[in-house]
Amino acid sequence: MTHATQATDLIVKIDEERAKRPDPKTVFEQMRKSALAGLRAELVELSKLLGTARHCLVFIGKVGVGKTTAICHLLGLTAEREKKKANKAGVEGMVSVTEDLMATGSGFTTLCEVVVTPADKNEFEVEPFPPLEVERIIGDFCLAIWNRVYPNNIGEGQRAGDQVNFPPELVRAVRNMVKLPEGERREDDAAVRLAREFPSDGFDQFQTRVLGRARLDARTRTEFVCPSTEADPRAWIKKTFDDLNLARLDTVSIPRRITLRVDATLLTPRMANVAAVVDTKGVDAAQFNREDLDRYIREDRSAFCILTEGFDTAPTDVAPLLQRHVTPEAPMSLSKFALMVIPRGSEPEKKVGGQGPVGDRDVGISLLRGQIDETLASRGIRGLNVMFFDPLRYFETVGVDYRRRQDSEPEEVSADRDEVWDAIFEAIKLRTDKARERVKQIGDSFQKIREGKGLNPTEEGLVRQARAKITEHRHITLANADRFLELYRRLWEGPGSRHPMTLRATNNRFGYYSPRNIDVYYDAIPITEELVRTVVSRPKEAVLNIVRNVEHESPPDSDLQELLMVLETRIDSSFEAMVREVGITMQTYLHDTVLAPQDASNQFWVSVQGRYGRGPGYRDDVLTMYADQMQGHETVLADAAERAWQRVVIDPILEYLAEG
Amino acid sequence: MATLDVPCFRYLGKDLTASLTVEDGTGGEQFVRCPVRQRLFRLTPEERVRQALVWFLREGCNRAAELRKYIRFGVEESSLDVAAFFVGGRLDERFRPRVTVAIAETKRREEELAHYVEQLKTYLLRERCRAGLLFNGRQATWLSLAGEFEQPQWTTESLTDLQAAEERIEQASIHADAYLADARGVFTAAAGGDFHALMKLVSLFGSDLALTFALSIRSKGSLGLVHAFSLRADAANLVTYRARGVYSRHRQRLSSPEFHSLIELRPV
Repeated sequence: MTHATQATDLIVKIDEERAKRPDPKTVFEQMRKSALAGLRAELVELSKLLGTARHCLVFIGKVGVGKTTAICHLLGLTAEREKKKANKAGVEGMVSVTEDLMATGSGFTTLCEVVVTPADKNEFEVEPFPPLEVERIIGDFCLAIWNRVYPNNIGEGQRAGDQVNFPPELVRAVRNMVKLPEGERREDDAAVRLAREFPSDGFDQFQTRVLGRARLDARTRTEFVCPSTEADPRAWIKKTFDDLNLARLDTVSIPRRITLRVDATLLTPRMANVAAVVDTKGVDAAQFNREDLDRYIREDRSAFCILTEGFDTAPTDVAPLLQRHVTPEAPMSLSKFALMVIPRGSEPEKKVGGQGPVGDRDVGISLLRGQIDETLASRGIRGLNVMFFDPLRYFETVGVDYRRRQDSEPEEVSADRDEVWDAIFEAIKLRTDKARERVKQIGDSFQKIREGKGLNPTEEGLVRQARAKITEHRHITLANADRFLELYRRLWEGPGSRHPMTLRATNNRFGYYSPRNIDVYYDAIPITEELVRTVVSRPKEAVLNIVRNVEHESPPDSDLQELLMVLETRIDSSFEAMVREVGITMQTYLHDTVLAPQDASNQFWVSVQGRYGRGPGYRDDVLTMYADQMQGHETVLADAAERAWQRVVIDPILEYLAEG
Repeated sequence: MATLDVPCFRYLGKDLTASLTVEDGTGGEQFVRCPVRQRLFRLTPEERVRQALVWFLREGCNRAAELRKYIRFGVEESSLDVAAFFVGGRLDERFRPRVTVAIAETKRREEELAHYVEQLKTYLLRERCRAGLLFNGRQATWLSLAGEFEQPQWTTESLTDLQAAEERIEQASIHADAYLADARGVFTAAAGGDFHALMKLVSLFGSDLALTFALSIRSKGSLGLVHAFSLRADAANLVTYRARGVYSRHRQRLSSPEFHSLIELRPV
């Protein structure tokens, strides 16, 4: 019997039991009914998790940390080539090199999220940005070029010297689309040269010309299949990937997402146990709270998230993300993650210990592992799977490629990769084991509850008292609601904040800037969750203590013991649901009320868009306009938190403890 | 560079043609020189109608010279296709609030104007403007707003001749002139230290986030200058505001004793 089937069978048994006792008449019957409903709901989630045959490995990390290189090496998406290279004396010769099939570099290389799935053939599927967004991106590019050529004769609302900031990988893509390469020197920049062909009042002519060069109407192709006659499919994958990532094909638009289906025979056999590997777009400026990442972490049951971080910073960058998602109220949350630390060169050997640099790789790694555990433990995260993987440990660079060092063996390379694969599958197994263990606990719990005899008057009295005490915690005061704006503002100002020019781009798009994964409405969710969790965890603990006290006061063989343990779990899970619900409420409030409508009829958007280019203090003024627009949000937040607390947490507890 | 004659509805009982200055692009497309934005723009069907109307308002109509004394026509300012802003003699460097006299929403020739009445209404309300024109080169619809902005009463009227639009815009500018004459008097009083006059100005112009009120404020025995925007009269004797270039969580407060004088009121 599979683990999922065990869970499903248990659900059936619970349903049968519930059907036998539809109308509770006593406190015990009411508690039993509620407990079974709670156990069933948890089982449904667990059965879905246990039903996942193959997981999706989602790599999340900051820009330039080495996610793509690690993925290529783990999956076997590399190729051995003979390439012509010049040696130090300038003499050319053929050299054996290893190249990654997906474009890698020092950061800002991967244009978009890339999903790799094992298949029976090699093909790419592209999900492009909408045409309007592509036009805007090209428009932004034109404006940046125009400002360089005519800094004193710029369009309305612009300021001399202003540069439009958008991801370098997008700039590369746009330049290739419009065939205006940058050149090695500034004077070689084809875009600048083209702009100079137009008079200073001819920006629209320039932009029209550039847009014309992009031939957007012809960019409709979304699928590329490797011909069955292709002799070297790895070479085809590399070339096609580069073409898509650099927007070098005249028939394809700028991709928002690329799916690469690879013939399983080209991949490591380990991929047979994996549904897909996702190379998410690198996190820029420590902004880990992104809707696309949250979706994998919270909604995609098949996703197993591998946080990647450099040896020098781990776990500083990923710790806030872990703190947000790994909570005591969501016991399965930690097992959703593993941390992959990617050392470079001799970083582990250089790790400084008590006597200076440790000088030994394993000692350095062991030292950092201990420090990571300590750091995370100090933030309430214990037991995270940590693995170390330097995909280039046995390689040396040869130009943009690399080759295996002469003092290393292919077996060593394989052993390193196998070690990481083992660690990944072990982490997934631990997650499955944990879910299975929980199913077993639920089974035991169900058994005890089903066989329960009932409560005596004393026990019923204890429940009544607990109910009365819990009612006193019905109201909460979200005392930190006034910090919402401060945290919201910090996304745009201060250390790790977004680039100020992205504020302009975001405002021009009414709050969304997809090339940078910015969504001013979604921003409300992590902030709200942090505030609500901080304050409301105290009343939640108070309620839990009331329940625990009843447990202590009731006899060890009392049916109350099991029923109240189930209630404790339910309080935690409903607390987590409440926190998330308030976050969504604030997101909706910003989107549907405060900043609505998202068009030119809204004075707010016209004002923030119009503020650009009108003197210094742009960011302060615009953020002040946001603050003004959001006036009253503290009350909305506090009200939403209280309503959700009552409806999602307190009312179900009171119902659980009701008279029947 | 060439001249393109574009049919532009009727004027004084006759068919009207607008003369636009155009240039050919390298890809076969045409560009029109916008006399307002002083740049070349691609001659799309929408731009053709917009430029024809701009030509009419700035040159084609008989009262063009008279209108120019009071009105500056803006194109694509604040997402408005064409807008008439008051620039008459009531305004100077110290007192230059933005008053939108009329808003024109232009559409390509084949578009049905009736579909865009609601859009123009939102713009009129947003700009607190009472006169609007919908125009596609073959039809013209006048939209006027009476009553309070919070409870507007709309009147929609099909025009058969652009002369009617010309007259109404001129009339709207006369109303704006009178309105600003009153406001100018209030400004003078506020500049002299009258707090209630300041509150009146705040109620008229405080919500325009593009405006800055330069305020002289008493603080700890001395006078200081504050560049305020987003002003509101929050209570009988209290104005709240935000200071330009300074972020604070809460709005700043200004009471009558703290107010010394209003120095200027102008766009940022």
